[in-house]
Amino acid sequence: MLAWLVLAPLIGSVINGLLFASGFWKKLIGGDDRTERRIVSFVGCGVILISAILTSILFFRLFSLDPIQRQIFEELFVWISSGDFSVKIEFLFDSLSCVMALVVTWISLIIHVFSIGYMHEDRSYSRYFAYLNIFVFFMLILILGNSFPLMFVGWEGVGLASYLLIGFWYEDKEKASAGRKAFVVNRIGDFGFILGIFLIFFIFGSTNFQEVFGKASDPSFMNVVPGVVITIIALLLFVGAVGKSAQFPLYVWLPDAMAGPIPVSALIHAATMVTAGAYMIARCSVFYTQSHTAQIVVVSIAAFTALLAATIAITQNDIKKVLAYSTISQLGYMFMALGVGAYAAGMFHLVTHAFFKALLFLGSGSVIHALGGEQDIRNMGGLRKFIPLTSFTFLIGTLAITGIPFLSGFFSKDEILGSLYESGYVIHWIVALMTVCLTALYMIRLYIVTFEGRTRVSNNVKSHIHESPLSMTIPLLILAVLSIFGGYIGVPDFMGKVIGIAHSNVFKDFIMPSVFVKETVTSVPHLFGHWSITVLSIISAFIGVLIAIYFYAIKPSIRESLIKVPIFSFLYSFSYRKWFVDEAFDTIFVRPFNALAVESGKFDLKRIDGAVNGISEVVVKAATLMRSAQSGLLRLYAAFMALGVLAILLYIIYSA
Amino acid sequence: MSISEILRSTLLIGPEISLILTGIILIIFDPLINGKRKNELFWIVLIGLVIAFLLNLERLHTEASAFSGALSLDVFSGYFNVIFIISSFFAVILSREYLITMNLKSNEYYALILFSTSGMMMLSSAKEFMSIFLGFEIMSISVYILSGFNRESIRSTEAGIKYLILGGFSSAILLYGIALIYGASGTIFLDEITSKFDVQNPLYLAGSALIITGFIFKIGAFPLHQWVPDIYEGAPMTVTGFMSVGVKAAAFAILLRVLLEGVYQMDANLIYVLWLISAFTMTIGNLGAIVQKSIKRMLAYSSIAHAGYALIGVVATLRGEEIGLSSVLYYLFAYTFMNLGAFGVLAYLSRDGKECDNYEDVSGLWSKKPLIAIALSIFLFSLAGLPPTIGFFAKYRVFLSAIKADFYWLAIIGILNSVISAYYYLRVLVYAYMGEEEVKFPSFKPASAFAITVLTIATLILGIFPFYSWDFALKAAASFLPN
Amino acid sequence: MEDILFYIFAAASVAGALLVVTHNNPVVSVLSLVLTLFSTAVLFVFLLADFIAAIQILVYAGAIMVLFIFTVMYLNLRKEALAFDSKSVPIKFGILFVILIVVAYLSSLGFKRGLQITGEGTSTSTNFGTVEGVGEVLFTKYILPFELTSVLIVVAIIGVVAIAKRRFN
Repeated sequence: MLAWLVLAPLIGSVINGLLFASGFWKKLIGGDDRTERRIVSFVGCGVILISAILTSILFFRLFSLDPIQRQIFEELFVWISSGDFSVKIEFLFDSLSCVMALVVTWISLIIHVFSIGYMHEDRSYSRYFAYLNIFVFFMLILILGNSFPLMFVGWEGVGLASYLLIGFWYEDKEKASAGRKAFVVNRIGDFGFILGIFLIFFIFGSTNFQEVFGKASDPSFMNVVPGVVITIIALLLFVGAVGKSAQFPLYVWLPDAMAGPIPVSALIHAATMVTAGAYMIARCSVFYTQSHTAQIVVVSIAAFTALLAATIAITQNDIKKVLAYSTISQLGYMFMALGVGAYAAGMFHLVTHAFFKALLFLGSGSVIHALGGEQDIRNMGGLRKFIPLTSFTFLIGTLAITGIPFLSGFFSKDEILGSLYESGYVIHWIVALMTVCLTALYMIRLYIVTFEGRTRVSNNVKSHIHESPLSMTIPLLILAVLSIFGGYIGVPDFMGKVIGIAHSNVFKDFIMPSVFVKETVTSVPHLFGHWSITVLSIISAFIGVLIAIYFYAIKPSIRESLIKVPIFSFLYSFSYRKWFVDEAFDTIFVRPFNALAVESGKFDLKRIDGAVNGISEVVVKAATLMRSAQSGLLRLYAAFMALGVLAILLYIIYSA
Repeated sequence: MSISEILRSTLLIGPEISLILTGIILIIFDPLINGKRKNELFWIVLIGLVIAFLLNLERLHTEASAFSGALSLDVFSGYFNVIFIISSFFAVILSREYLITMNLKSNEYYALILFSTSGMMMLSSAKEFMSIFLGFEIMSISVYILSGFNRESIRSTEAGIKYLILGGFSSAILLYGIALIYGASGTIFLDEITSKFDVQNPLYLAGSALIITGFIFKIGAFPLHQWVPDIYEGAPMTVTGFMSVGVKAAAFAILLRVLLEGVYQMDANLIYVLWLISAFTMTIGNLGAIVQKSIKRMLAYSSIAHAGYALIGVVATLRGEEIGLSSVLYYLFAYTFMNLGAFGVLAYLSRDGKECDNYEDVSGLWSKKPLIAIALSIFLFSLAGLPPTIGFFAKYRVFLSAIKADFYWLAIIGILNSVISAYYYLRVLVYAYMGEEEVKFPSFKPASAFAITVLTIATLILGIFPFYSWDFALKAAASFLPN
Repeated sequence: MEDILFYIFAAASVAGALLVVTHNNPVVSVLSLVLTLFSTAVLFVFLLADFIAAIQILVYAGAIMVLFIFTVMYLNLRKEALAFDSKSVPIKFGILFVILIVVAYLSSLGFKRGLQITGEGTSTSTNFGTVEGVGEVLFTKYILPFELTSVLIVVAIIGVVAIAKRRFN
């Protein structure tokens, strides 16, 4: 069943890609474009539905098992076997991969359905669905693979799918190069990841999860391995995660990746692929839990990323860019939780984030769709009257991500903040608290500027504004419901006690058997209790909300005059120009490398190509010479044979 | 040998007998059926091959000796029989429409393919020189006739006659070698020869050298390779496909059998002869292929080159590298799919009595027949040894075995040759994808399309997941090595 | 005595074989082939293979050669029908002989380095070479080659038919 759940999207992709792209069906059925599109949508969504249903069935089967035994294996066959190194194609379905698989398949399904409406005018409709399906296939391999090499296959595969989809409109040079940027930056991360895998194989003699993690959690084995090795493994793997999950300094590809179609941004660059890094770290929890150094690195980078991205998001004017930086910032939250060993909290935020961020992206997609491709929020405003359903769901998403109490984001964010504080990372906790405030600020700003106030839409566009078709609004509604109620699977225990439920954090109990956590918890003097931390985070969120409402809805004039003050204008441009990171990258890496590339290109053209061409000339000359021996005359062939036989005969007799 | 022993032995060679019987049934029924329905005997051929395949499965996990040691029915022979049956199965399916296109008689053709296959199967299990020679001749004579089967074509007739004469020459060399060995040992059974083999006795040395030369002719390796391009080019397309995989594999089977069970003691001398042969074969095959203007002739040269790659594994085996033997076996297995597939595509594209021969004949294939173009590219990628096809894995194994046996230079020569080979394989694709000449392609051919589809999928799937088939090769090799 | 006879007939068979390929009259070639086959039959007698010798004369020198002669006569091949440059033949044979002598000399050099030619005498039981003896071995120990021969002959017949038969419409 596991195998079919993985294979279904591949089959869909093959059908859509091979047969439709080659025009086979068109010839066979002779049908028009619309029938073709119907079949493409049917196949594309159908296979994902199959995967989603199978995942759910497996989830119930898993849930019915005893918590300690919650693992389902399915071995297909041996893929590579070379000496000591052997890789099985084997899938593992435990609570961790179950959560991921549920999120990936169901969110994918929703976004596939959304795409039917959003992409209906595109020329390469079948190519789009083929790519989207292949992405789901690789994502499932990444999640369900039971060994590092298999995970790496999925890891690279989703990278490929992401590259193809970012550059989906490859005729546009800028979009194609955005795809390339994503690919190249990810390569740096993958390099670290694969080095990590090599080191794991070198130390543990295997790449299978059970064997590696079994040995790594076995104290008698770990006493032999120096602690620094574990730290190096953890950091190398983290380099991979930094690339894939867009953490500092490798986050630069994600904002550019918004060049792809909106559903792609929602699925790949918000809900699923970018969280693969978080999943990988949760999977490899055994290394991080045992290396304090690695934990500090992870938490610090994550906290910095969260703050950095949030500050940038405040000033961006492209609706998708704001959401992209917000994604980076939220990923920072997840990594903070993972870094302090609160794996359940990180995974929980991953899930809720998938709900509300997918909702926000699809909502922005609906907006862009309604405005015929406009992405700049300065040209929007007042859209609530034109597209009420979209604006309503967008508001729900905004409130959820802001951390307004009792929406999904509130619970998961609270878990993270609580665990940061309890583990003793007080500075990081303060940074996170600031980020909460900033998040509220930029999200509310985005909502107000887009949907409220006077409209700034030009008149000829205004006449075309329409609410999106059902295939787009229904996904929005479903995601809105999930964004509201999705958090109740993981209500923190101390909140649950208030209404009299002892173990309200079902999610945490479900995840915990799959991750490795140290028993001893560092005891930090509790300045505040649980509740006070919660209240603090609510307060900082509301501060953000109020600032936003004040500056953007009530007194926009004050904001405009404030910006003229030198210090604020500097801060503004600092944020607007994204902390000059792109410029720094450009001077430190891109320009020197370009110069080097130009020089070596010259060298290649002159010296190396010259040598290669020379060789190929020699080869062709030798071949022509040889051809003259091939005269076609039987007698000569026979004579040549006789000579050959004599030569072999003499050699053997003489060498004896 | 008693009657019961003969009966027991006869029952053991079911696969061979079923093919021979099918061939005879075809010949008997052909005159009895009239007109167009003659073509329907095609199904009997397939049934016969399937029966042979099923009977052969028994051989994959048992070891038996039949006819007082003349035949050794081991996994090794079972493995090769799988290759032979697969190649003849697909050659037959591909021929169905090709024969109609070229206006050729079908039932004699199928019968000869079946007989030839039975001869190959004899070769893979024979351990006695008289049976070896007869198996060799049954296989060869059928193929001689098949090469000249298209009597309307001068080139086909020429190929048949050339093959017959040169093949007769090589058979004479083989027989002379057998006679020398018999003179020295007084026996024609390989087991007994092995026990009596004396490196100091020139009769043994000269005899085995001549025998090996006879097999090298059929493999199509340097210095007995010159017949290959002319005959492969002249023979009907499907016959070329069939003999480039089947006959070659059979010659390798018997070469390995004789080398490892007959003259293993003289490995020290033979290694370097075969080393040189392998290096020259690869190089000459690839150099020759570069300058060709006909795809068919290019594939003929490439089949010389592939014989060279497979010989690398033989050299490594003689050095005592066990992986070497299984890599040869696997290479031949892989080559069956990809080469038959490539010839199958060319057969598919032949129409109105004219073969798809030159590079220009595939021009613009992609825009008109995209699926066939994809299949062709997969086969050519595989022949060039690019991942993720089966050809990559097979080549990788062969080169690895050379490196493990410390033949670094041979591996380097092999790798350089693969690089050269990519040039001419991919050139076909340049024409197929970017060519702009107006070429008319034939309409849909269901049987050939089926065969090509299966071969394409096998080339890909076995390339991505090679380890089941590789285990199979390992098992065959393990059953066979003397120690 | 035996040695002398052996060399006479061996020489005769080689000479006959050479004539087959060099003579430009086909009838003479065929008759030279008869000479070769006949001399070979005598050599079989020296090897105590009486039955094989008899078969050799009956089947090859007799039946098959008669068929060949008929074919040659029937086709009415003349000297000029052969695309064969008879003048250069002696020169080419001269070159071939020189090469062969050199090879033979080189081989003998190889043999002199302490290599010994030793042959194993085949067993000479009482009925060796007789019809009974051949029959017994042929139908027990070598039954497989015997049966394979029949397959080979079937293949040859089918081949002849396939190539000679007119194409059906």
